[in-house]
Amino acid sequence: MIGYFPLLISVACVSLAVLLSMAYLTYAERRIIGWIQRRCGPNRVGPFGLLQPFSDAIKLVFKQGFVPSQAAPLIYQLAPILSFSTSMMVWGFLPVNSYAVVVNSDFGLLWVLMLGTIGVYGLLMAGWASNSKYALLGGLRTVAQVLSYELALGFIYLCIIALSGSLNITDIILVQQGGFWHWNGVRYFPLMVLYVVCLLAETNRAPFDMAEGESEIVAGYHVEYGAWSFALFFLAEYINMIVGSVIGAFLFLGGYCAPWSWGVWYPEGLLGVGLQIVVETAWLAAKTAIFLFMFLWVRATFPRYRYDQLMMIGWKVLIPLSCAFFIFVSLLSFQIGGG
Amino acid sequence: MSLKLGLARLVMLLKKCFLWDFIKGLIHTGRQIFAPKVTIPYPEAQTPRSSRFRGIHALRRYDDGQERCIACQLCEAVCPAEAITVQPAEDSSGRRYAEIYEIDLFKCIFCGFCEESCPVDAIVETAQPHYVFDKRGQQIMDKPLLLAIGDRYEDEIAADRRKDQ
Repeated sequence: MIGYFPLLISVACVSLAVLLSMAYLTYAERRIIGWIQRRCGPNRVGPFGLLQPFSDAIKLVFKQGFVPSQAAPLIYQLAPILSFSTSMMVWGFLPVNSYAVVVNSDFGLLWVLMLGTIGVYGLLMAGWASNSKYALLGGLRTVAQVLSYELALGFIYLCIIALSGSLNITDIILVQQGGFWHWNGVRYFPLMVLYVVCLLAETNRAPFDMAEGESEIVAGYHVEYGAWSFALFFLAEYINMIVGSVIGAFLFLGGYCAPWSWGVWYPEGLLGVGLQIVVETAWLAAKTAIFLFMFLWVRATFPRYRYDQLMMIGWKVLIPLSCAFFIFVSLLSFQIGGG
Repeated sequence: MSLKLGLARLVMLLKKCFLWDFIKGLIHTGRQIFAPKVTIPYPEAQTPRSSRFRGIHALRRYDDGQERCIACQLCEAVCPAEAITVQPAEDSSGRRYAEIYEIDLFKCIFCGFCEESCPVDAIVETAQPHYVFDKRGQQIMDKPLLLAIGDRYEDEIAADRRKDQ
């Protein structure tokens, strides 16, 4: 039993950090989009509005939970839990620094891809179980969209796997260490652009937020949800954004490695370990923040695509491009490996 | 195909490949982050109001404290919403005054005709926009209330009226 103690502690730490960063992501979103629209954003609750996410959470918790009378109750209740728990499970496979990775799997990237796909079932279940036209349409749209873009995303993952020769996320990071000129995002910049576009579609964020197009289908799959079950969907969506950004940082910006090779030195002993954990986590957080800022910036800039345009971009542009890139990268790595 | 057209198409294609229009849009919105905010933090600051703003009503007094209103009932007659009720009376010196002067704010449309019609500048609409009722019945403003509002904002009312002369 005592052997599990460090594991439990790291699970608790990661969960807490994820939930906290998710809370402040919603705050940052409202603040930054406000600034871009020349507003202030929420600035009343606490200093600079910093307690706003907590007041929102408390409001949601104390609302009355309900199940629509014609809904399928079990699936209706299960859907948000599935969606939230899969988005949290992914964190077990993400190395936040050299020491804190709960499961250091040799198939880390596959696990991440798989859990991301299972999370979509939550949305589909919610759409079906709600017994509402809007919710069903929203759920179907989500599934079609995510499946289409997952192909392109898979090709992008394949490129990275071919480049680093491993599915283990820690290995993928360590291949890129030693300075920013080793980063995949710097060497293969177009691939990172493709990844960002796929990520926007994968997480159902603007300009690809077909699933909840307010102007057509009200709010999509979570139209019939309220209170805590809605909060779980909300949590899942934002945690998925963070997950996508963290993976972007792992695959393209060298994860927790510093962007230069000199001066990276830690003293011996516990102090050095502590220092390393803090510095590496800070680097990862900074790189993740770049991606997250991109999400918000793009959301504040572009209008929503039409559904056929979305599918056209997915199938006619992103999949051929990422496939071509994969062929290019495999030839390149073949040459590197063989030559 | 002419060379010029071909060149234009090439430029279009390059722009598409390098996501030129997207970058332009992102730069534009990115700049707005640092632009001055247009939000007015409401309770602390308020939007500018004209001195002719037609807010809550008031009854004014002369400088010596005597009520201006002579109960001529012109405001009652001109009011398009029939929101004003005036009951005239005479005091011992034979001067007319309003025994009852009531404005129903649910009926009032804040057109300002009462103020225009008043020969002695007694009834006015102040520039005060903030007033609430929390019980039914409070919307009917009686004479003491109107006079109290007038006393409270007299300086402001007089200054606003002077601007229009």
